[in-house]
Amino acid sequence: MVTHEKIEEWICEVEERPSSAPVIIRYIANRLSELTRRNQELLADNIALRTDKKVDDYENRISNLEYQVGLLKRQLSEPGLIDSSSPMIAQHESAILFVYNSKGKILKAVIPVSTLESGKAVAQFITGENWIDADTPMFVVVNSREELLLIYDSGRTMTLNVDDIPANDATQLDWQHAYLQEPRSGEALVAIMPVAKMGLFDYALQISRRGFVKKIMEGSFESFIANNFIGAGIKLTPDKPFGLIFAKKEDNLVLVSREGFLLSMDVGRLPFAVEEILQLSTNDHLEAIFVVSKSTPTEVKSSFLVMTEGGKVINRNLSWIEPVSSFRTRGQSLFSKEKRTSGVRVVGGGLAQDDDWGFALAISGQITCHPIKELFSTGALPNPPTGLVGFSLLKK
Amino acid sequence: MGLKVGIDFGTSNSGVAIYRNGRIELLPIDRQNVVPEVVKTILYITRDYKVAIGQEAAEHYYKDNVNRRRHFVKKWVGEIDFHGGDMFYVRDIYVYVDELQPGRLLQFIKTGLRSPHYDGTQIFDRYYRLSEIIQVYLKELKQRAEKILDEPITSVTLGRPVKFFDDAEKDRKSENILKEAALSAGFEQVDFEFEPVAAAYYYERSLTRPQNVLIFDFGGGTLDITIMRLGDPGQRKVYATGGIGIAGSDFDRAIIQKRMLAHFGKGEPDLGVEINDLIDSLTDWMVIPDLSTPHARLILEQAVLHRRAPVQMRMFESLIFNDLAFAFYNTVELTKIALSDLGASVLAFSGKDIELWELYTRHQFELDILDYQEQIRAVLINAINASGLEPGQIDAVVKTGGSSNIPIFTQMLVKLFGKDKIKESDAFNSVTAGLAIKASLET
Repeated sequence: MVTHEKIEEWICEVEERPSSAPVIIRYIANRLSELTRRNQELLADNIALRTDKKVDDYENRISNLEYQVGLLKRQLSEPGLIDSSSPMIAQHESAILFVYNSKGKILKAVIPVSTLESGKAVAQFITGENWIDADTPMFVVVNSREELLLIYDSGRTMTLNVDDIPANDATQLDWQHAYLQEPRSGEALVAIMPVAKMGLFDYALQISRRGFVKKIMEGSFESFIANNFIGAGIKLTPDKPFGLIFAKKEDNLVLVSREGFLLSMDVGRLPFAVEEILQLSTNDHLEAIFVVSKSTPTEVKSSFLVMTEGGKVINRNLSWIEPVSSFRTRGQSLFSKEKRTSGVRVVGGGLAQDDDWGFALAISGQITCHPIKELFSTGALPNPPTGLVGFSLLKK
Repeated sequence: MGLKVGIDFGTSNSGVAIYRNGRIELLPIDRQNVVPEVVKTILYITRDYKVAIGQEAAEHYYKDNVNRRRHFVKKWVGEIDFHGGDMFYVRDIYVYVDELQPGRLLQFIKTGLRSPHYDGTQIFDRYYRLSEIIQVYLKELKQRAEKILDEPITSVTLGRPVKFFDDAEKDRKSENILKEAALSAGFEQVDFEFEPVAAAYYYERSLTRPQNVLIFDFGGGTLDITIMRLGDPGQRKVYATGGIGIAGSDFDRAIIQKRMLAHFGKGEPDLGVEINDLIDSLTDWMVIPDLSTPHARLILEQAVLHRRAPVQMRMFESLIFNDLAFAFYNTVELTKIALSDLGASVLAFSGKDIELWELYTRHQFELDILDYQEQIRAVLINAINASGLEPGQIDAVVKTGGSSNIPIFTQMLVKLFGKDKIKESDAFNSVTAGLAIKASLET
């Protein structure tokens, strides 16, 4: 506010130092010119409001936004369903398989969806090579439009487009030909997660191998990954980040451990600081995470599927899951204690429907694809392999 | 054996220098700064305890905080016992904590050494004592200096004001805190020199014959005056020292209090005591993070809703909830600095829901700091009297520190000593350079 007192003080300045006069006049003139321009803009806005032109503008913008939402829904195939757990893919697209290890070596295989057949070996590591070295390879399937987030155990992250990583010959996967995103000294690559849909959700949930969870608001998460650092999300030294998943406020997070324990919790109850949600035994760790959306229409709320190391399928209706309300609980058991003692272990899983595909990475280095409908009906992979290393789902 | 450097740990800016082979090397500690040899004394500590200083700290802070989201949770911090008559009860105390706060920015760290009640601060889950805060900053300075010199640094001569406190016991305690911080930062040997004396060492290099010199070291936190005999290293003598805890940051506060608070509703009727208290708190940058509580937002929103100074309230809300306070304080400081060269400047600041424009003249600035001028004149006269010298016996007056460029103080010195005796020194680096010289003498 320009008051009389201030004007008097400006005059005093000019009287004391006449050289200040042109400086003051220039500042005031610039300000007047700026205010005049703004006044004209406001007057123009007023006229537009009175002649309804502004209303037309707003209506046009609303129509445009509605059109964009419609487009997005069509892109995601299922009306009302936005699932962050597994990628979705159209018939004309390709499934992109990534096998990677803690040293930052990433192998990519591109498999056109039209070529998928039940039980078909879609990719194969070079036979005879000891392709599993000190650490177990990790495995993820995404669609070709995804953005990938590489998470290191230090909490550092890196974003890459699927196209940034060169494709390998799917029939001769070989670590020697892998794309390398070398971790920094003392660091290990722990997860590659698809993140293209993050804008559609309220939260990013960061989950550790030992069942610790941290909830990050979507806006903050975007700024974190822009800074290439989301934090390790762990509390115990031997623990490591497991992965990330996106969820809406009203969704339920589901964690599945290697020893077959499952825990579900309302996303609203999850903490912003790192807390232990699922209490695991000393040797246990997480193998699968997914989100059950309450906004999913009932007809598509089918079931979830868990794959064991021996190729057996555990299939449950979603109504079987009983969400818990307190932290540090053991969760529900997916199979009996006897089976656990005899060595049955989980290698992956998620929400699944009849039309989806499952990809299994065997210890032999072979990756096979399987229609979920068949897995539901047979309860096991055909010709069960000697051991599975990973299992990933692809939604159609 | 490691190197020995001089470090000027200033209230607003710091610097590191080394004296070797007859040359002073001012180290480019902050390569992101316009003047790389000057590093802002600000420290940013993230939630995972990563540390940044100087321009990097400011940039990190901006990136993480401006327009960010917040989520307040109520946290139990302790309990208070109430005793009264035959009554006794215990009450739980809760505070609202922003769970999403990515980091804490600490500025004017050195002023903690002049505050008898300041012990430290909570940074997320850890309590940092004052010596630990300073240690974090000095350690980062040391590491950067070692990287530049490519050799380990084991010893340091640290600058200190002539007085932290008038009370000798308190003064010694503050020096001990600074020493403890330097030792914890990894320096094996630590000694001190008064900052104005260090500036004198630097000036002495230009002398061809002995002189009586008054060092007017006027920085961000204190004014330090030293009257010395210089020019013959064997015959150096300190006639008198003096100082006062008034400097650049106090002038910034005066500008905010007298010129800026009205933009945020000061003086508007019907705002109520609570809002007026919040507005008054704006003069202290350090408390602004604590103002952004859900309750503050509620009362500001209600004021907007009831059309009580809605524009000012919205601007105030934006300033404290969008973490714009640091940028705002910088703008105030830059406006003040511009007045050293020009008779008028504009304090213009804009951000989300906030736009300030204030034409500010040198005449207004001098009015706003009139009380301080009187106090500074008194300290200067006292120091001259204590030296036993007449103004005419002082051969040169050396100005150093950013605030020494403020024209009204130059005029004050000119009136007392005459224009020819006033010598400009490197405002930001002369103390650092002098400390490096002192460090080499100690070696």
